[in-house]
Amino acid sequence: MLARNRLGVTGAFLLTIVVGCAAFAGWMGRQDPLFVNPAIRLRSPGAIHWFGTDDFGRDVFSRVVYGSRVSLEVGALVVTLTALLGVVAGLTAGYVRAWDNVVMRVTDALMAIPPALLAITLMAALGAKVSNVVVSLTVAYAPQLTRVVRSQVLVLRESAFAEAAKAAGAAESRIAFRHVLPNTLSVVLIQGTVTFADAVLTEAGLSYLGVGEPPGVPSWGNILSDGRAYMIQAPWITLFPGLAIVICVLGLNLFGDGLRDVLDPRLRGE
Amino acid sequence: MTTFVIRRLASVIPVLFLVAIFAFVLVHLTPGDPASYMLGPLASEQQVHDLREVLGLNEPVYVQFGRWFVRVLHGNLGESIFMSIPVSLAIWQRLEPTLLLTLLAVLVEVLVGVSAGIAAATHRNTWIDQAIMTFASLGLSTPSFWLGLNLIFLFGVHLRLLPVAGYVPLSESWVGAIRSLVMPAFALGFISSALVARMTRSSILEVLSQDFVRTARAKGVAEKGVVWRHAMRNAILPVMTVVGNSFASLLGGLVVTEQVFAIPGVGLLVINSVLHRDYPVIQGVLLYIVTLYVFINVAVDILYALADPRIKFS
Repeated sequence: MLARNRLGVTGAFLLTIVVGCAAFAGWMGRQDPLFVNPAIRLRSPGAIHWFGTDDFGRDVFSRVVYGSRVSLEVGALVVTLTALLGVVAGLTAGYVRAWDNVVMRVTDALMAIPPALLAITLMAALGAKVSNVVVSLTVAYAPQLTRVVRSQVLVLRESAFAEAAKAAGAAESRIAFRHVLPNTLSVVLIQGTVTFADAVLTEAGLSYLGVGEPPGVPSWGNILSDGRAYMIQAPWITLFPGLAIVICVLGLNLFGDGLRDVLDPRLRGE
Repeated sequence: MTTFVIRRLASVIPVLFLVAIFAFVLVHLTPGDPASYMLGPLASEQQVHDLREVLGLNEPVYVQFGRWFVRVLHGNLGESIFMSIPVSLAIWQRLEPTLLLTLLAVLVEVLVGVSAGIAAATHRNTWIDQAIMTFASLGLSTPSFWLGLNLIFLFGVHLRLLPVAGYVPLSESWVGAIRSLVMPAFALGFISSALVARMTRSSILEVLSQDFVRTARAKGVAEKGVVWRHAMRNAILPVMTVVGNSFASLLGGLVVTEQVFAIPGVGLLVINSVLHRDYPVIQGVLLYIVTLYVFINVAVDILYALADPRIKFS
């Protein structure tokens, strides 16, 4: 069904480009993204350096291609952790009354902090490391997913099929894990794609601000912040990583819209 | 209505309390001793010892929290380690550009978002609709700082229409202040305007399919009147909620936008304090921004209840 959804297909196409770059970075990025060559600094895009070179003479194309790895790795880890946390917390909140209050108050508080600010302040405490970026973004985005799962669980446990399972004599825990949990997966998938897109955007912002990945790591945000000082002489250093971010995030957003249309027809706009 | 307002205000208390705990815990998440971490490797033992005294780090954690929290409740956010001025003063000094920027960004968000949404809804399924919705998807996927950099390049460097960076205080020239904030406000507001456009469009389409709209058309109201007098009034409510929620991305986006445009506001204060590990300032700004955000949303909820008498809040 997703194959017939125009948004979903466009999104999948854009994502394939980004994932392809990440997977074949070693083969596509023809130069070493970290190789410094001052003799060719700030070269404009051409046959050898498709996206030009930066102020250290590093090949911008290779750096952008390798940057897709960083963004996708961070994004994928954040989504996986967020989904795990969200499903566990959401399911317990939906089933255990005592926990519900605790989980809801904590998500309330975390959601009252703008995600970007939450991630920045956590990075300030934890220090600039890739693993800390993952932790910070997970803390910033897990509350949303928890909420979505919880509200879905509350609906599902009162639904007819849960009632039927109960009437057939299934234990509450069996209903929770075998019937309710699998049915939350579609909302987890939809919200997960949105979180992935947000995580890629915020990650780029963090490393642009110098509180994300350590300097030197070829992440899109780092390339952008390196290129900022040379924007007038060498606008290509900031142009290409930005376009890469747009392609990646747009792909995720469109794919998410497509998933929503297919998996949850009730949410369809018209 | 009064009960609703009181309840909504009361619901803020546990949220702010937990956020205060988070802000407090933040300092203790630092690897090793917070005092030596803040002062850096060059600090002498005496300096570390003194800062530990100032921060009260020699007390048990709950005592530390209690003292800190009582102080914060009295409006005392502590003193900046790096700038040696009270945190509240540091925030106050940087408040003007930030508030003005947020205001202008919301203005961009609402004007662009609502008019694009109306245009898309009234030209449903035409190329106008598709162009606007494509643009909205693009907007949602563009990092605000990259958009900002491109705006600087285009309008600041090439066309020389607007100042490249910096801020002119209102007291000097209000035209200058607004001119220096046009690009950042657009960079910040444009992304949220995409969300507003989507919501406005679907909200209007939903209202347009309702019976009272058909009645209005049947009695001969012109299409303009149907959209503006009948549909818009009803469609605007969900849009208000989106605008309220968008303050999360606006206030979070301030940090990076102020950095891109070198605007000496609260956002730049955050990033400078993060780079200097000036924890009292980070805690103070965090509490300040969250309080602002929470009360903005309370205000939106109350407006919502006032605007829509059908809604009964319990």
